[in-house]
Amino acid sequence: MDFLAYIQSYANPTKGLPPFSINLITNFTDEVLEKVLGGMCLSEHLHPTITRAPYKQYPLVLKDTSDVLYTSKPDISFIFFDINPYQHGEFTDSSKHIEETLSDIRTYCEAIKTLVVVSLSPLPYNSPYGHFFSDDPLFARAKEWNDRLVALSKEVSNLYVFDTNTIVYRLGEERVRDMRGSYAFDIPFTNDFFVALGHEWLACIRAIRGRSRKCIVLDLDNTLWGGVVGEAGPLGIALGPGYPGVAFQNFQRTLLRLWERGIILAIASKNNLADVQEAFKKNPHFVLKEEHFAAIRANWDDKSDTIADIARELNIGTDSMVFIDDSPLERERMRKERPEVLVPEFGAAPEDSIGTLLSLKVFHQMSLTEEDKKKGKMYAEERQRTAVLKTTKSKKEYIAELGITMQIFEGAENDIARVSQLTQKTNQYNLTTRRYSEADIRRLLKDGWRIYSAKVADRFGEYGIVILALIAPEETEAMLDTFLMSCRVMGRDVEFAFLEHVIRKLHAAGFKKMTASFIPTPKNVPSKDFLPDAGFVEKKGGKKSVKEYALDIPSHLKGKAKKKLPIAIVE
Amino acid sequence: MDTLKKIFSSVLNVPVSSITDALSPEIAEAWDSLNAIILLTEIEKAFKVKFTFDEAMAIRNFGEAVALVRSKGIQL
Repeated sequence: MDFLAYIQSYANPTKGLPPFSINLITNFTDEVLEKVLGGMCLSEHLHPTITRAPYKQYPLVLKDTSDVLYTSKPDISFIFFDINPYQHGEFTDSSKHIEETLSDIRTYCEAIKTLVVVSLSPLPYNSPYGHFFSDDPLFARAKEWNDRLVALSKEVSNLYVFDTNTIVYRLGEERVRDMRGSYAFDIPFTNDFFVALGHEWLACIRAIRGRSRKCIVLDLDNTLWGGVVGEAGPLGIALGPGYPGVAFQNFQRTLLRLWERGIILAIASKNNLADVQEAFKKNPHFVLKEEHFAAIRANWDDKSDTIADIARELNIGTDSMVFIDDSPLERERMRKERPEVLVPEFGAAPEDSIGTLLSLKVFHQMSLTEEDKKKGKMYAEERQRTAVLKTTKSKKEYIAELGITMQIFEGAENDIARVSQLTQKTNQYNLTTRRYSEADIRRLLKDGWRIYSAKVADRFGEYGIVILALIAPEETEAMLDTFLMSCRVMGRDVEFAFLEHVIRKLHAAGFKKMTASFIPTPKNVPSKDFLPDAGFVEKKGGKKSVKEYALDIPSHLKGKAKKKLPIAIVE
Repeated sequence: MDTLKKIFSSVLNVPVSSITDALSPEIAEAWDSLNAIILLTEIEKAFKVKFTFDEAMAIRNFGEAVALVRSKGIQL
């Protein structure tokens, strides 16, 4: 979609989309930005309500906790103060304004608690000081503002920084700044800039809504290397020194870096599997090795079937996948059969591949945890587990064979980032799909909530912290606000062993009853039977939109000896 | 002409078929000062031309916008 399409869509919003509330706080005329951002939310199937700070009044409204900005309950806030070095303004006049505004932002973040994304100001790389622009006091002022914001974001947990200079690097200052607009209307930026900025902000929205993509499914011939391996042979494909081989090699390097930070890679190729495996083994120029791929499918099946098959095997949704293929026919077919898969235009020139992939802006996360960095390795371990599954007869035997151990934590102080991330990313095995920021989790702990999480491992490797229960105490009742589990450990009965342990803990703490609910979403079908299977009783007269359950703790524990699960628990 | 009509249609949220030379702020409800700015910047971008501020502010209807774009040597 382009600028015009976004503003038109904002004027004609689609009905029936989930609501999404945004606060927009800037120091310029920001109605155009509002329209672009609103159109982008609609393109992500969210219905935006955008509350803007009135023009030039941010110093007042940020200090006024009764202002509508504070009462609008934003899902996310975007703050962007532009320091235009060519125009007189409060930020260039005195450093006092910087201090005051930093303090206002801190106050705002602490009160608002949900994610606040502050955008750094574009810096001037042209000044009366010529090449010595860093000596220019106005440059120094703008730089100081940006540096102080970065420092503030390290102290305030719900403050996240986006640097608009990344857009300036890409487009150039003349395509970013609109001086006539700045002087005449106080709109200091071009429409192109607003679109680019909107895309970056949208990446943050996707991340907090659990809509970032998790997996890249790749074609091989003329995508991961040049030429057709079936014809050119393992050493005849273009990969390695010289053009175009080096372009393919560097594309692989970028994919490897995505893998290292937790993006899953898979292959869907129309080829003979033996040819593909031979290429990986014999060609010395591969940056990516077979072990980096969670699934390798080389066959002659329809790729829309192949991708669904890979999604099933990895326990992820096809809507969390990106499909990269140089063939326009394959792309068209995938878009038609699986519209939820993201299929970017891709092809002709291999030197453009990296730019195409990274400019999608769909792999963002608000934090990177240890689990993310190990994820690629975990999926490789998963392929070994699948081999065990094929040799064992029953699920019970399979679980026993894996040798699962579970280490349970209470409190979560050590791993707030991971606890928050689990609530933001888990869609399938999630009873209530409630999203919590790190600041939210801290608040829940302060309010006396009980937070249990567990690290799971087996003989093939560690899964990290993959299961979580957030419990609100209500006298002797324990309300299970959130219960979720990463799809990586689904089908191993880990959730039952974990819940049993939590129930014992609650019993020891004097709780008599547990209540829980299941809120159906299009994605959480895998967890719909968890509560009844675990012994909870459904309350009569429940609504379709939410099912209520309860469990009497003493009688649950007195009940018939539960089938012993072959899962070792460490505390 | 299609490009110009598409810009007016998208910004003012009116069907392309309803765009005549007489289309003006009095007829199109959405033609306010902000959308006038958006029309200006999008026309300049689409045709790679630059108007002076006075030229742009003088536009009173679609017909005058067409004439202004043509005056920059653009075939519509």
